[in-house]
Amino acid sequence: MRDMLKLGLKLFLVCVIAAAALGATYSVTKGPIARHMEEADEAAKRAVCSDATDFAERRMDEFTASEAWNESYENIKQVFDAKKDGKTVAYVIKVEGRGYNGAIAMTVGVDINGSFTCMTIDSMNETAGLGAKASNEEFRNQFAGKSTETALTVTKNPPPNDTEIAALSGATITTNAVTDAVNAAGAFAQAFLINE
Amino acid sequence: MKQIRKTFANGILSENPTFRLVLGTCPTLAVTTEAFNGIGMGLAVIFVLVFSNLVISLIRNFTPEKIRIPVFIVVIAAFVTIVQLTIKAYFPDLDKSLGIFIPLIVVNCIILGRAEAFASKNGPLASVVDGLGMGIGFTLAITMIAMVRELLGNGTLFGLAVFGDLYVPMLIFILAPGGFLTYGLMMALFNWATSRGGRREGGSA
Repeated sequence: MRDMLKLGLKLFLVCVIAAAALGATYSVTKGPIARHMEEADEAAKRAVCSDATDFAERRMDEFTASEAWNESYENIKQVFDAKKDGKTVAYVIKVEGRGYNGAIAMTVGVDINGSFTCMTIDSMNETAGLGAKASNEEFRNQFAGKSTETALTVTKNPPPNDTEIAALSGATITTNAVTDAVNAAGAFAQAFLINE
Repeated sequence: MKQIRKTFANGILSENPTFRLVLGTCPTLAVTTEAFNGIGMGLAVIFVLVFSNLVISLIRNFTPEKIRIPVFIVVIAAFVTIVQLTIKAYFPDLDKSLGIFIPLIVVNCIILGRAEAFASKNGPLASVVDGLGMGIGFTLAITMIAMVRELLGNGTLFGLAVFGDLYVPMLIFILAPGGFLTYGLMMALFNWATSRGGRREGGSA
């Protein structure tokens, strides 16, 4: 009995020291980590809409309360007006897709004429060498300039036409997930943002 | 000094964690789709392994035999988390390339294996050297596997196209079955090469 108590106490002591070390590290690193995440977020917005100087976040409940809202928009996480000299030049939409291995977070840019400006992948867990290639410029740049009026489809026979995206070989699920999410962002922009 | 050199070489050749001890096979199969991933995972493992061996060795006389495993797990998990937070906060560029590997280290049984088999029985200096040797052995092994898989499965090496358009990549090599194939064949090759060396020296293979 005494022996058990001694073992328990020792294990408890190790855990307390470990917890204290973790707590100390967390409180010291919390600030810098939050700052880096903000910077990365800012960089993603700038990447999809390079000429804007200011991004004003829109309130999501303004859209969810609307009659035009339906569940196909539920993966839209955040919406920003991208402004230059006080005028809105484009919209930046943060959207999530269901990939092969969990959520894929993306930032999609749509200009005021209803064309995609660009798309970046913010975070994903897709297979390295296959789905992870979705973050390559070659793949991402396919979206730039495409219209949001018609939904984009995935093709396995390149070259793709104006409404098609060439699939990543061996990663059809990832390609579909990304394209669906971008389509959702495009349809959302058509329904709520363009000509508002 | 001689003992230290032996401990160091032990991890790279005669007790190579990947090809000989067959430890840490989950990360080996999972991340070896690109050569760069092999190096990234390897560096993260070397770092954690050296320091976890050091800590375990320092507290080895305090740790009772009966609860050594939970103590090791607490120490390793705490250490991995501290490393992850520190890298995220102060080395954001490193975090971009190595960040995804760090949580995977917790499931790497090489770390726990060395804590149990070496660091809990040896002094701090020897344990650090053992961690370094094992870590480098692991890095070399998975980088070699990753180079073969990337070359055959994607036609590239460290992201650079090697063959041009002439070669049609065999996708299977960067998918899971290719991981098993490459791992198994390279393990056979490694054992064949090292056992031949042993025989030439007159020892038993």
